[in-house]
Order: sequence, then C-alpha cells, then structure tokens
Amino acid sequence: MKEGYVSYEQAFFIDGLQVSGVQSIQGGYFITEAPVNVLGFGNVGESFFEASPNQGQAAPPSNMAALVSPIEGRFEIESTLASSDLYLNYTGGQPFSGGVVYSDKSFGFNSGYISQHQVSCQVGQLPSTSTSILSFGDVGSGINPKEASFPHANPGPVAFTNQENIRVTCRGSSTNRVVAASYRLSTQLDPIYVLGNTFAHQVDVVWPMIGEMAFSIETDDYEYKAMRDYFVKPELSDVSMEIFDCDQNLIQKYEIISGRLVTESISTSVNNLISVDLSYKTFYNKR
Amino acid sequence: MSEYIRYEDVPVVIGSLNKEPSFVFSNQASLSIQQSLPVKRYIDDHVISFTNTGDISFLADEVKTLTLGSQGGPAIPLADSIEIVPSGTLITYPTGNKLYFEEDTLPGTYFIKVRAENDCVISESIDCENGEIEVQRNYSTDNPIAGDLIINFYLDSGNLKSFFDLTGIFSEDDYPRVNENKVTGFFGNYFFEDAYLESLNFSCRAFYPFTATARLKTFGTLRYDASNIDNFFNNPEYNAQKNLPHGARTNIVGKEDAGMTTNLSFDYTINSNRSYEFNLETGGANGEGGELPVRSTKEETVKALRIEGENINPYLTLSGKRANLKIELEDIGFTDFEHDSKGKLNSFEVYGPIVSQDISAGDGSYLRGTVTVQDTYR
Repeated sequence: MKEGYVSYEQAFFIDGLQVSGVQSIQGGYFITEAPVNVLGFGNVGESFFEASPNQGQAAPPSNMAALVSPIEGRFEIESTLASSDLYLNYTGGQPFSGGVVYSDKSFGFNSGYISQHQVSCQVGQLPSTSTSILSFGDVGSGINPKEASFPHANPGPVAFTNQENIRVTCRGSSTNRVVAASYRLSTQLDPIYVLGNTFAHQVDVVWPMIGEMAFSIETDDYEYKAMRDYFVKPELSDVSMEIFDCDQNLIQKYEIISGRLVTESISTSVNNLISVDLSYKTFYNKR
Repeated sequence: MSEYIRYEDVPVVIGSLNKEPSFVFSNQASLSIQQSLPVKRYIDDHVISFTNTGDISFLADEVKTLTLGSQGGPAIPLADSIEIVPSGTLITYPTGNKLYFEEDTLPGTYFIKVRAENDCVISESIDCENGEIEVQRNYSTDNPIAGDLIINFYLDSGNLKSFFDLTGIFSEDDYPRVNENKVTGFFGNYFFEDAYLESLNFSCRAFYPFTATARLKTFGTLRYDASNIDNFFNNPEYNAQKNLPHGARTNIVGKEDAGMTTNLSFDYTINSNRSYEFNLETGGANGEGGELPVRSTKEETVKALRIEGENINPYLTLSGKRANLKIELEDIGFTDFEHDSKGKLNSFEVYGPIVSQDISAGDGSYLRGTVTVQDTYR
C-alpha cells in the first residue's frame, strides 16, 4: 500500500515486444465534452432537473454534457536508440498496440498509429528518439500490452554507438564540423468515423508523409546560399545520417534523397562559435 | 436603466392548440419581422403645377391660395403617392423663383397655400407648370406582415411529437390526417399567438451531437409583457429533457438502397409550403391584434434526406429508383448513467425516389458519395 514503482519495475511494449532504451512515456486519453446550455435556464445540471416537474421517481441526473469530438488517445515516447530504429517499422499506417506494464497492472492502447517520429544526434550524447502515437482504439486498462495482434518487427540486437561512429552527409559536411543532426518523419492521419459507430471505421494516412533532416554545423569554409537563389535553382541534395556501432556495423541509416534545402540560418554569440542550421525536406508518396 | 438580458433568462415556451405549452430545450432562437412595403411613386408627383392662366405676382411674405392642376384646368389633387408635404417645403422654379408651402398639405388637396419670401412673379410660360418639390412618399404593403421564428433546439422524443411535428399527426386517431393548427408561445417577454410551423431540419455527422432547427411563420402583433420572464421564473415549468441525439449511435436503416454500407453524415428536412388565407376586413385591418390568417393550408409537404457515404447507387430507372431510408435517432446510450441512457429516441422515415447523387474527391480527402431521397408526404 502507498508504495511506488521505480523505472526498473516498468516495461514498455509494442505489439508484444518489450522495447529497449525507453527514457520516458507520457500518454493517455482525452475526452472533449461541452456543457449543454439552454435558453431560459443556462447550464443544464442538477438544479435544472430539480426545477423540472415530475421528478421523484428517480434521482435527478447530474450535469449534462455533450461529447463533441471523437475520443482518442495520445502517447509520447522518448527513447535512446539502443538498436535499429524499431519505430520506423510502424510509420506506414499499420495499427499496433502497446502500453506500459508494471506489477500486475498496465496502461495500454490499441489501434495506435505513429504521427511523428524523430531521431536526434548530438556531440556528446547517444542518439535519442521521440515518437508521437495516436490511438483510435481503446486506451487505459483492459489492454494487455504483452499480447501481440500482429507479428512484431525484430529490432535486431542491442547495439550502441558513440559520436565518432555517426556519419553525416550534407552540404559542407566534409570540411566543416557537424555537431548535431536530426531526422523527422511526420504523418498526418485521417480517422474516418461513420454514423452509429464509436470506433474509427478506417484510419488513413494523408499522403504525402513529410521527411525532414536538420543539421547544425560549426562553420569553417562553409559557403552560404542566398535565399533568392531559390528562384533560380532550389538546392536538391542527398543527405543522410548513418549510425554505426563500435565495430563499424551499421545500426541505422536515415536518408533523404533529393531533399530540398528549405532553411539555412546562422547563430552566433559571445561565448560560442558561428554555427549554421540547415534543414532539408522531402515528401514521401504512397506509390 | 436599460439592461441586456442574458440567454439563461430568456425562456422559449411553445404550445399546440389545446395542449399544455412546454419549455423548449433550445440553445438559440431568433424572431424577426418583415414587411414588404413597395414605394408609391408616380412619374410627375414631384411637380407642382397651377391652373392659373396668367403670371402670378407675389409680394414679399405674401400668401396665396392656388389650385393644383394643368394650366387652364382641370384641377388635379396632390398625388396620393405623397404622404404629406410639410409646411415650409420649398418649391423651386426654372427661373430661380422660390415659393414655400404655408401649411402641411395632404394628398387629395386641390387648393394649396404658398408663400413667397421675396417679391417675385411666377411666369405663366415657364414657371407655372414646372415647380418641383422633394417628396415624402407613401408606402403600401402588398403582403401581410409576417415574422420568422427560428428555433435551434436539442431534439428529443417529447418535443417532436407535439408542436415540432410538421405532419401534425400526433396519434392514430387523428382525422383528418393533416394538422393546420397554429401554435402559441413566448420568447422572453414577447408573446406570439399565431405561429405556424413551416420546416424542420437537422444535420448529423459521425461522432458529433446535433440540434435541429425549426422555422415558424408568425402573424399578428407581438404582445410584450415586461413581467413575463419574472413570472415564468416564479413558477417555472421545465421540460426535463435528459437525452441528446448523437452521431455516435444514430444510424440509417436502408442505406443499402442508396448503394452505401456506412454513412458519414446526413441532412434531413421536412418542409411544408403553406398558404395563408386572410379575410378582407371592412373597417381595415388596423386592429390591435394585427392582420391574422383565418386558415393556413399545407399545399405540399416534402421530406428529403441527403446521406453521405462511401458510394452511390448507379442503377436508376426511368420511373425513379426508390429508396426507403429510416433515421434511427439515438443518444449515446450510457448503460449505467442518468442521462443519455435511453438509446432510441425517435425515427424519421423517408420513402421515395432518389433525386440526386454525386461523388466527389478532393486533395487530402477521400472519395465520397451523396444520395438524396425525396418523399412528398402530402
């Protein structure tokens, strides 16, 4: 009674597979209700029913409220990349289940879809991932995250990297110091609800998915572009971020082919070197 | 000091003929009055012409009584398109002369009093038939004065089986099978005694609650009772509605006739084309009650249901492909809760031909079809 559960007494599962490297989890369900207000009374609550005639055969209802949007769940998972990127296997619009298990309790979700996944690398840190999951099924208790409704993807063995084994390819990367890089995949989801059904009848990916790769570079001989060059010839580049383990085995590669340079910004301050931030964007179609 | 009244202090209460009025579970209501008043306008009603056949001389501040009409006669009275020519109204002439009406002058007047501020001569050849004034015109109605009472309300089984049922068939024993009766009620401090339901419509989309809109035509004078709101709250009679229809449970039976297996939304409308009959009153219709219809007939009552889903029915026939659709109105259907636990609230049936269909798709969306079924009820 009145004890707590520390981190090593918890586990996070996706499709029955325990996920390694999880740093934090935030999630839950969110129900949007609106008050019912009527002319001549205001908010319809207990006092309304008390003032109504013919009460007495049953207890008056408490406050009325109207459910004004579909009920959905959201989860945010922060992880350290400790193997190949498991979440990439779930970014294509396939539903999955998952949740947190501790002791004999769980808080899970089903019919989950990844709406955004980001991996970030920085000098002095292990690569980290941040994943947003939307659930259009049920959320909370009664869902056993250890059970898999689909065969789970194998993330491969646990493998760690360090900053010297992360290789980045982008504009100026061969002669300037890249100190941070990130890759983000955003997926807009469109749940379709039909009359008479409390679950989403269908969940569609609104194509295209958006891939973005961003780099932070401390400049040496970096050549800036001019913004108005865009009207002459937008820069298209193949950019990538490859993560190897200490034995030079590839853990995960993130890549954008023919990404468009959409941001180039400079930062400097009294105690820091000049750095430039770049970002490239591409769109992934269904076919 | 005047005060704006908050919505929670503005009850809407309606009653059918010979039935107890009841509180309407309304979240919005409006009452507007329109009167069609075409202007009366004749091509020469701004022209002031005198019958005199010679020059008319005026000394300063002299007042003369002159006869309206064309030179040499006959006399023509002031046109009835004019409401009044107020005292002091200026008459301007081509030669620059100016005369003024000495007194208020009403339409039908032959002899007018005019005054000159300075010595002047209204010449026979130029001025006499060509004076001009700015006219205050008469307006006259060509339709009865009518108002529109529009009520947005939470549908329930109770209010649909009385004054908001456009068919007016409240029970199997009702005969004739049409109800032309008026309804009465009040909106805040304003009473209406002669209102007639003309249409009811509601739209539902998946997973959202919805309200209905009723449109009533009102006639006669609104009665204002400044104490009505206070009186109502001293002895309130609320309709203890406990249910709100919701798209999460509401369903359409028979959608397969329209080629669909699921529906995203629907729009239901029942509309009656009503005619209002008025008696000509020998003493005019200026009584305190205003102009009231003696009967309101229902020329045509049409129901239409437009449903939206994943498909359409491409197989139409020359005589019209029939569809039989029934809206099953339901609340959320809580199983262990005080309100919204009734389940089925009401049903609305439409049987008739499919009169329009379309399919569409747009960027970022999906292919969807809509089918409209029309049912001429009477």
